[in-house]
Amino acid sequence: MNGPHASPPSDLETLAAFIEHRLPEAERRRVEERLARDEEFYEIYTETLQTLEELEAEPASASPISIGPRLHQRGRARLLSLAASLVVVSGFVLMWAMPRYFLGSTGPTGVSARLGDRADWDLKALHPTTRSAGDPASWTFEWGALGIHLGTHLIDLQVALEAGDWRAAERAAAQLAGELKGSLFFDGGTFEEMASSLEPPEARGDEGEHPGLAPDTRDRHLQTLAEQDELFEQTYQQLGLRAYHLGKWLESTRLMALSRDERPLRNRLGRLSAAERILQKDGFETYKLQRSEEILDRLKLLREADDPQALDFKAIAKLLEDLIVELGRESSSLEP
Amino acid sequence: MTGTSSSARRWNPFSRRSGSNDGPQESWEKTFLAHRERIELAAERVAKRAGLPPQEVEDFVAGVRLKLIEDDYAVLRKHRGQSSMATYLITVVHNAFKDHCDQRFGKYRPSAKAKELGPCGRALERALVVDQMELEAAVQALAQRPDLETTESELKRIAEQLPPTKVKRRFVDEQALEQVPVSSSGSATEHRLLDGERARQADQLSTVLRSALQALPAQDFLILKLHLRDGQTLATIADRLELPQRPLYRRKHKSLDTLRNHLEAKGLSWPEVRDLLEWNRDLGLGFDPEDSHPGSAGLGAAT
Repeated sequence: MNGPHASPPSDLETLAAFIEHRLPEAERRRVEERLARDEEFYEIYTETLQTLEELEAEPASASPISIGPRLHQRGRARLLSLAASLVVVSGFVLMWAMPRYFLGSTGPTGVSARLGDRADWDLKALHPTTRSAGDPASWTFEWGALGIHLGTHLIDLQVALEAGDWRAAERAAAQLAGELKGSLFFDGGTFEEMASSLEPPEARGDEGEHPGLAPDTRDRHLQTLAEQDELFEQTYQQLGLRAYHLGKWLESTRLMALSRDERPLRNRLGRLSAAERILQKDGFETYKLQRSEEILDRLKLLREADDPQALDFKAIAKLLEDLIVELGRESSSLEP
Repeated sequence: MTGTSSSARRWNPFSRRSGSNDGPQESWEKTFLAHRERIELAAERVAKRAGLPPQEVEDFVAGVRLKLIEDDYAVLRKHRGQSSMATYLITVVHNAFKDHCDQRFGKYRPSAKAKELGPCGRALERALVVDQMELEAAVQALAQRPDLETTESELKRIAEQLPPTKVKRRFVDEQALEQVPVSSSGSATEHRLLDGERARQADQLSTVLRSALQALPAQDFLILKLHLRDGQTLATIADRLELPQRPLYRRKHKSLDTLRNHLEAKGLSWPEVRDLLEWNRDLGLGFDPEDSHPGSAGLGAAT
């Protein structure tokens, strides 16, 4: 049953393209034929899928930039320099990836303001008092919804800070503070403080020099954000839930769709099954799961377009938004 | 930020054609550096998942790094842009791991059960099959490895679950056989004889099953492999193979019916097959006798 070795890089690249749903029909069939008959090739395929899933589940990969435990493991000393360089690089990538209609001629502030508008969520804060502490199922569920909220707002705050958009950053920080108010596990005061420290350039008196956020303020807040992200990730890991990670993943994917960033978006859409599994394992309520799976099915249909021009970025972003709203709903608001 | 945005447009980590203003060598080096951390993490995970000892994990990661750099980044240069560079490099890591295993362990491949049991299962099976260690010695050696975080009793429990055919049989001469104590009922000897007979039947079943599977359309065979051997749900398979989900249930039942008919035509009744599969759950194909996925009939229900 063992076929020829899959060593030629061209075969490996074809396999990678198969995994990413980038092959035309006839070539897909050829790969399937080989996967069925060639054990070595099949093993590379299944192991690659597993590794991709594991890497996708790494906290660092949910976010447009790498923040979180992976960096923590390598030591805090490296964190600052890495974070600084990654901030710069991801800022570059965002700038590079923005289509013209997004960039316009207004420079970075204009970009971020538009992005900030798109990330203006109306998610009702899940105050701890609304959680039913006595019922473990409900408790788990509410932690799931809270994780989605936290992940979503954290990504928005990160993007706003990177873009130097103090208004959007202030709004996202205030939303995070609201979510965490009164929490026994997290300190909402950190974000409250951040929101109140963000002020317009005219108040700082340096609008000519830095029309958005002052770089040192931005870097300081990004560092705080990285620390909070680490804390959220660790707490959710201890709870055995991945909802927070999923929230980050969904929101950063939605922003990729909004910025029409085709390649990474296709990558993300190729891994919808991983998101599906997180949903199933995290104990979201059945009604919510059914609705979410419907949305995921529609997303799968949208990713089929081979032609980048035909990829419906707007519809994909809307569906991801619907999914975030659905998963972030309070249990008391669910229909029977 | 505005002052550096022009360099941002030159360097794009998502594309192999990045850094067009640099020389080719610098460009590939940048691409390598952009992916290095992820690739090393992937290599580390692959090797750890296989239960390799820490030193060997490190060696493998270093080997992958070298493979990507050697011959002026030849592996990177061969990327044609058909897939993303990131996914392509993960397949390269797995291919390198396959080569590494070929060199280290020959043609041995872990059983489906050993894979399911994780790094400890794989390390133990390898110790028993490749290194031909006695069970007690293998258990003691592996329990000493801090990276496996296991105990002797846990390893013994794992050993009981490993497929017997994977563990090399040791032949003894007739004299030694005479030394084997016979219990009053003679049941121990009967068990041995029965096991020998079962092993022969299992070999026969394995051959018949392989030929039946090969006769299935490639996509149906692939669906069964992913579903029954690797435990993937039909929803996941539909997603991965870009197929509508609902018809997959019918296709699976149809394939299982075909297999059952093929087995029966070769004179193997379902009770015999089930008995053999229960005795040895890893006939080189890794199929479980009962398909435990909800709502599915499985081979068992076809009787």
